[in-house]
Amino acid sequence: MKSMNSLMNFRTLVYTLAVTAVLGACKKEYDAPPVRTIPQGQILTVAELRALFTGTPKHFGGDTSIYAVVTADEVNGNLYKNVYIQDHTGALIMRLLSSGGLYQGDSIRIYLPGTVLGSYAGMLQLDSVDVDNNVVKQSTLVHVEPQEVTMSQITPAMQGKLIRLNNVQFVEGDTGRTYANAITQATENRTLEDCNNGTVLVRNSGYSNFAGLPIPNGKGSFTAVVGQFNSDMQLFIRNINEVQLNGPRCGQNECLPIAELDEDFSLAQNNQNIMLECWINVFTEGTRLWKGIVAGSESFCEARPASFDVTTTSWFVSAPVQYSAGMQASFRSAIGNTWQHDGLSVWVSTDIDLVDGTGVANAPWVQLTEAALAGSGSPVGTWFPSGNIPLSNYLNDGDNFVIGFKYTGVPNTQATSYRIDDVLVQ
Amino acid sequence: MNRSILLIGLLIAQRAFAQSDTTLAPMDADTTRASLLADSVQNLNPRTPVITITSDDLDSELGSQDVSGILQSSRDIFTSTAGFNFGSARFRIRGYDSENTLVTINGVLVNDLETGWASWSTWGGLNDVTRYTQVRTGIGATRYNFGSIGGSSDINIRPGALRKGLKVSYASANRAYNNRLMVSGSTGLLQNGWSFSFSGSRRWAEEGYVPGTSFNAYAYYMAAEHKIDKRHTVSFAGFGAPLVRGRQGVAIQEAYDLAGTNYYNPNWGYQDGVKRNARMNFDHKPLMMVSHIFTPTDSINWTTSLVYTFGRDGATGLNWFDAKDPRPDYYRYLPSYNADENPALAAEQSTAWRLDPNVQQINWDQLYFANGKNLYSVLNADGTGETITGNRSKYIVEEQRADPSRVGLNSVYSRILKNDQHLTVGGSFNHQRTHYFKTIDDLLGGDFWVDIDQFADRDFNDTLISQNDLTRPNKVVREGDVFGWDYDIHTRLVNVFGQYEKKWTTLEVYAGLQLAQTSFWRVGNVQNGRFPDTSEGKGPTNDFFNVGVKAGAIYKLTGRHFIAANAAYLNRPPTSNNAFISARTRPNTIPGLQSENVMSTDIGYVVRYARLKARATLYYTKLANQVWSRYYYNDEALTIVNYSMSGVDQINKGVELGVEANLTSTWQMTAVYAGGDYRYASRPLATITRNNSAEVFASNRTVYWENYKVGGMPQTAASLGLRYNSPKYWFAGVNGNYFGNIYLDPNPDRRTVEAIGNYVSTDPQVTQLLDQEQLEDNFTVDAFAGKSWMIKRKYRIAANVSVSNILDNQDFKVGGFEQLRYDRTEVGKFPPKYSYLYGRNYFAMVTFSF
Repeated sequence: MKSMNSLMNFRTLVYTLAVTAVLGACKKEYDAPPVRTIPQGQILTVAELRALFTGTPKHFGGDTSIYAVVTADEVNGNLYKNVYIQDHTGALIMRLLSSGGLYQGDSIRIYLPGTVLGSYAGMLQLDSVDVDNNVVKQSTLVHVEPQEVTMSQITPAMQGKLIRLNNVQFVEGDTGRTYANAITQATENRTLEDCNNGTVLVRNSGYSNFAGLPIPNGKGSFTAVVGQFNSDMQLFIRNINEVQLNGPRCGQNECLPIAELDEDFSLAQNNQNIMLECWINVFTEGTRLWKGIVAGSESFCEARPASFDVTTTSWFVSAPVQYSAGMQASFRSAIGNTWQHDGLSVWVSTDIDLVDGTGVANAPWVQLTEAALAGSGSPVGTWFPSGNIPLSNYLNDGDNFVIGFKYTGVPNTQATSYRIDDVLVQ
Repeated sequence: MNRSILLIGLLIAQRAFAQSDTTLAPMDADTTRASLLADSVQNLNPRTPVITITSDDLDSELGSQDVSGILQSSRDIFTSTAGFNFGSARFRIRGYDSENTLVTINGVLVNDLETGWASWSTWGGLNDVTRYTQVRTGIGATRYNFGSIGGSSDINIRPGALRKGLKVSYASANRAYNNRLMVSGSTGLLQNGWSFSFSGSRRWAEEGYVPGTSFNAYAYYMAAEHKIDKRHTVSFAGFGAPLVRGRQGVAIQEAYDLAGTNYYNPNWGYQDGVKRNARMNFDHKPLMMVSHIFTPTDSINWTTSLVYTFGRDGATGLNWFDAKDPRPDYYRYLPSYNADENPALAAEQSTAWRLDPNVQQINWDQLYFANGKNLYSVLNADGTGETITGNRSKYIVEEQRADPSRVGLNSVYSRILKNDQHLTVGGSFNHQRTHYFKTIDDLLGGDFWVDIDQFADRDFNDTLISQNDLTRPNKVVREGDVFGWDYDIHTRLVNVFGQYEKKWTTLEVYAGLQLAQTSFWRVGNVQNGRFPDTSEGKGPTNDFFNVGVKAGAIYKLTGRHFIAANAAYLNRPPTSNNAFISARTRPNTIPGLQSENVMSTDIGYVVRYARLKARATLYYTKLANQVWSRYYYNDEALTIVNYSMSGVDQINKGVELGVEANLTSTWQMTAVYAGGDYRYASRPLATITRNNSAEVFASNRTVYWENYKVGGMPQTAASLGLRYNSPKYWFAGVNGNYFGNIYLDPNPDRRTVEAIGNYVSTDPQVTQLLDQEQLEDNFTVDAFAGKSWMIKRKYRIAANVSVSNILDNQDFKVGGFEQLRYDRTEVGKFPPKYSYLYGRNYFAMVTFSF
């Protein structure tokens, strides 16, 4: 009987425990909080909003909204805590309280209370925008066509707008530089010009993902948003792929492929970057280009590393040539100081639309391995013939092609300078 | 039975007086990084368990029906006081990390093979079962395994070893949990040779001592044993402890001061008026075991066990993309950030922080609000070329998982030989696979998350490099989906050991040898864009062969005075969790990876009279050639870096004193003193690697770490206790405890030439960078009392209560760390984070048993 009681007690306890356990086992699921909405209130166009500025910062309190599309965002790093918006009536820059969350093509409603309409160095801006609390997205991937303008149309009236300039190029002093200083991340200005001496500043952030790219030296179209700093109008690149400067520069001829090439560099100027019509002289690493050398009656070109660069890679690309059967190439090369390394290589490519460093670096190159080059055994300054290099292995009848001389060097350790001369393709 | 280890028995607690639990000590939660990822910014060891022998479970032991048993003469007053009174202050015996103490269940090693730590939470809530633990501290003779320098805890969960009867208890507390209900029973050996045991418990709290923490745990245990005949016994045991808890965070002092409490917890916030914790733990790792005990003669015992365990070990946290940092104590949200340049804003922030719970804590409603309207189009979603448009969550709660599965086989043969000799030999095989991955726990009102690495996205601006899964670029993930990283770490340990013991009239000696082979390797389950060639598939195997030797002797001056000395040398592999530069992305290990060398010795004098028991021990341990690795946001490199050091030496030396005096038949006094000196003893070499690429920022950077104190624990502790034991079945006692020499563990990079470069010795930055902070010494008082009643000579009711920190000292910093992120020009910009001892707290329990 006693043992029976024990057993009963035992069971009761187990059941009690089990029930307690089950009751307590409900997993705590969090409810989503009730949806909060941002009221709309009165609707203004961007132009109406801009017109509300009367010279002193305007703090918005009442119910007012504007609808607009984001035309430039922070993704490429050129803008930080800034985005540009536009509707059919006008455009405006918005300054965000914290970075992130708005992307090009977002169609948004901005609820104005809490924001401030003000002017910064002449640029009207909607300040203190809290993306989480002031902005409601309506849709994404909305395309806004840039307004095609000329240099002279870029005035304070264009503030904030997405524009496109055609037939423009960076000034010669900027080609060969990078967009900004990617090392120190310093923001830098570059100058864009048209062929009629009109110019405008292009302001590039050192944090942008294109800061370290070389400035293209061609002419073409340029898409950007318009900013202003005091009396300076400034353009901001929203996407580097919208910088399409790959045509011939102002005053340059179109470079049609030629039937044969015979270049003795007689136009070279001593110790100047060598610029030949239809030839391309660019670097893809470092800062130094191929330079001309005039020594007595001889002129040729030479590449070497710049002493302050880690590595220099520079390309000297011939004018385009049309291939015909049996065509051969030849040139001569020499080293310009005591041999330290083999820095020169010779390549062929059928991509003749190479203009800037990006194009050259990414072109489909094939190395002309048959070319004999000056090397470790060569006396300094003594020319070394390449021999006749048959191009039939690389090209088919009718191909247009260029020959690329690629130089790579490192100061002090791989600092052999290389010279080339008498490039002949026939 | 050979009594040769009698004296060893004196040095150790024969019964686990104190049950341990794993506390989740927040390590360098250096997550102060703008608008990017939260949890993965933490160091590699976000969940370093520290075995503090005082957890909440432990207190229940006091006054349980075995009180008189615990107080048997064989226990060591030093060990029990260290566990019971010092644990809450994070005291560790001899300053050892958890990896220096082996934990076995029925003889099988259960320390995690990757970390070396024993995770006591795996069997938390099974106190009635695990109390039958043999705890040995320090080096000694043991017949379960070779042991380690910190000793071993051998838990016996075989039903035959458990006390017959049924026991039910309820406990109330105001610590990590508020309630505990537990029932346990055991049949004892039945006439048919079988015995059965079970235990179950629930521990819970809506909100524990610290605001925003919650606790919800169950535990179950079932076992059967069959004594087939005199020679064979087989047993089966299985247990598990599903646990869900909301974690406590640590903060800088400014946050504590603004919040007005040193128990401020940045991990929670109100969601629709209900407190929600962002950092939850989900833990459930069932373990199953079969054992066979073979006793062909009285002098032979051959025990073989096979164990299998698996389960979930998850920790949640906030993650965000292209949005502002949602953590309320992010350094830019605190007034100090603006105090110099914009005092007006700082004052505004200060007011908001103090008064507005949505500023002081996580603003969940705002996170939902932001997610619910962030319309976004993912181009080329999942690499299919299609566009998916929906609300892209800016903020999510993600769960980082480290799910282990493990098989272990252990066999130990122990035999009494002639002439008071004893031989033990054994071997084991262990294989652990831990599956590391992340899942989306909650999209917080958004529709999806895009699986790209935010840091890589920012660092490289390359749409391929930033992909976490190259086979599914722009992977759109939803709740429950795996994302981020997905890989397995395999660790295999094979070892054999032998031990010989011999006893003479006045001298007892032992010697042991262990040989072990350890291998670990990584298997990547996805190909990521940072390391497309190595991230997927099996990486190289890292092999280590290791040897350990130990020996000791006890010399009996008289029957009441003994001298005991022990020494051990062992080398051991680096733990795999420290060995990889960044296992989340690649299989590469840190430079200079090699085995650690451990040398330890101690000598003690023991006195045992009926009314006075005392022990004094000197110890010296050198841990050489350790590796150390963490991962954090580096202000110099402006990105996440992996900081690895090799050649880290450490010396732990000190003295242990324990005195227990029975003043009268009812009054007892105890005095315990631990005086330690734990220092780094080398100049390690550090390698700093970019987490996202193979780029090495610095290699062989010398860290001037010599003589910095090892932080995170009191190096000095003392306790004076008085206890009254009434013959009428009640008792009461009080302990005063003193803790000193507590330091913050030094941030290695602040102690380098690079950190103090360009400063002259008078520049304030030099001392700010180099000085090590010593925390204040502190004093606490604990008290306890209990009473038991027998009813009808059959039923026993016991009640007991213990109150800790009676003086309610809420300013006792028991831990903290220097943030790894630092600004060398403004050291105070990222101040240390601290954690505080709980104020006055209690544990009260009633037990019914028969």
